[in-house]
Amino acid sequence: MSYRKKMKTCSLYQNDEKIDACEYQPEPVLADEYLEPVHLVDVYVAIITDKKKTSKIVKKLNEIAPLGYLQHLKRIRTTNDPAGPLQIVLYEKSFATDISNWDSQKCQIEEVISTIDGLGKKYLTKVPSTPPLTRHQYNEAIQYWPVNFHEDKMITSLLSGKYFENKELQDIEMYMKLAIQLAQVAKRKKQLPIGAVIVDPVTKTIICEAYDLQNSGYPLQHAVMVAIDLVAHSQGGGMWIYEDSHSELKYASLQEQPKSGTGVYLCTGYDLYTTQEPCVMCSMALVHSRISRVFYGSSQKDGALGSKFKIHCQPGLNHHYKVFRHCLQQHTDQLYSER
Amino acid sequence: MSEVDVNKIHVDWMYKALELAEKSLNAQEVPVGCIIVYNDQIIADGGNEVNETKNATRHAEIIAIEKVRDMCQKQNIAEKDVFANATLYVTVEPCIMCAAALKIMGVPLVVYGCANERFGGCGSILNIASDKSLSQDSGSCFDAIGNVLADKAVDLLKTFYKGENVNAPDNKRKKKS
Repeated sequence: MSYRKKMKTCSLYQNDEKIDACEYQPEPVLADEYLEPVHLVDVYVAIITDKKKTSKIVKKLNEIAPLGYLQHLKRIRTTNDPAGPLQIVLYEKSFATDISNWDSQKCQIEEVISTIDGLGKKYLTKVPSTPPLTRHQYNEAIQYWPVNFHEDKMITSLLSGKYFENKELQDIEMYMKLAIQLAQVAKRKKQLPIGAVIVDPVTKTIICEAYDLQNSGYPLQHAVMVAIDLVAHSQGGGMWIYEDSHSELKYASLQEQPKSGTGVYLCTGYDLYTTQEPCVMCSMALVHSRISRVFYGSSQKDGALGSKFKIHCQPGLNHHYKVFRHCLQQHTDQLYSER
Repeated sequence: MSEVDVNKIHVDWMYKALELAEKSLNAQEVPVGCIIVYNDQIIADGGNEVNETKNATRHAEIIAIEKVRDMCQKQNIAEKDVFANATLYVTVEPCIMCAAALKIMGVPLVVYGCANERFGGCGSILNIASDKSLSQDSGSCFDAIGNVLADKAVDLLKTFYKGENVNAPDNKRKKKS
């Protein structure tokens, strides 16, 4: 088997690199928590009437009403007028209305607060209830109350639309084109037009080329399941036997692959390119297989990597992977336009 | 049949599935065993074969599903009808992948032993078994009955995880001596 495929240079990248790079950035599929608007919670705050007592007040409040899960809040804020009074967070509203706390803690806290010198009358205000995870959420959060923000550089980069360099984008496009070619092969063979390619991005080796085989009679032979099995074959394992009529299904045996530093283990470190968003079964198969990244073209209604579920970042699972969608989507959508 | 009788039937079949789980344990695979029952007979069985095949999708349920297909092809019977009237017994709650696969194959009833806190697809992580938001293309929902001889299934898993996964890469486990 030969994998010496000529890389077609994409003219789009040559003319105006910046604009085209932005246009062609695959879209990261992030967990919902990164995309949600800011959640708010009611807290009691008060004006500090005597600024000199500020540090004493803070110390006392931290003692009797620690911020708890609201650690991301700055306890004190200045008002619009820098020379104006400071405001301080007292405690969460539900802290006082929680029945179980009612008798003992609420009375106690109100009593103690009333004895603190230099505090004005308490009043309710809304503050962000969770720490901001993105700059966008941070900017929204500080409209309500100042918060601490520990920026995750990886997330910022993913959201910037400039995560991939042009070289990487060319590779992504090349592998995606191969997946599309395999989908077309499948279509000619009266199979569903879904192609899948698994790649070692470090050695730039194509580990396998696969396509959907459901129409041969076994409903679980989705393109991704075939690809995972071909990777197993490449490592001397594998389960399914493929008919000679499917000679386009390929894998690179270990002997044919450039030596990698560590031994191979399932799909660890590998990337998958597929024309259509994987289903629940395939997405979970990729979790079990320890895939590194998934790139897909078209979304689908039962898709489990962004549409119906986000299996790749599902809380509770012991392996997560990165997902990028809408790679060469115009081309992959053509494969599914007849549906 | 009374509920007690039904439960006894499930327990009896589960003992058969546990035997297969033990076999997997002896083969140094994650000890999960599975049988498929049709017309009061075991028509297929399966144990985990992930390490043997280097394919992480070779779970007991998938192995058993493929044995049913083989049987149907040999005897020239429609596999759809067989799956639609079969019950799958498995010692551990099917994972998300297997739950989705069982929906696609059209198995209406799954009886399992212990919950699968790591990967479970019948409620532990997600409930794919009863998820109605997926389209008909993803198959139909199935009933799942859990907690049948759960302790015995857990004991086997505990025995396995006390040992070391010999197939994990070096950097993920203790160095070989």
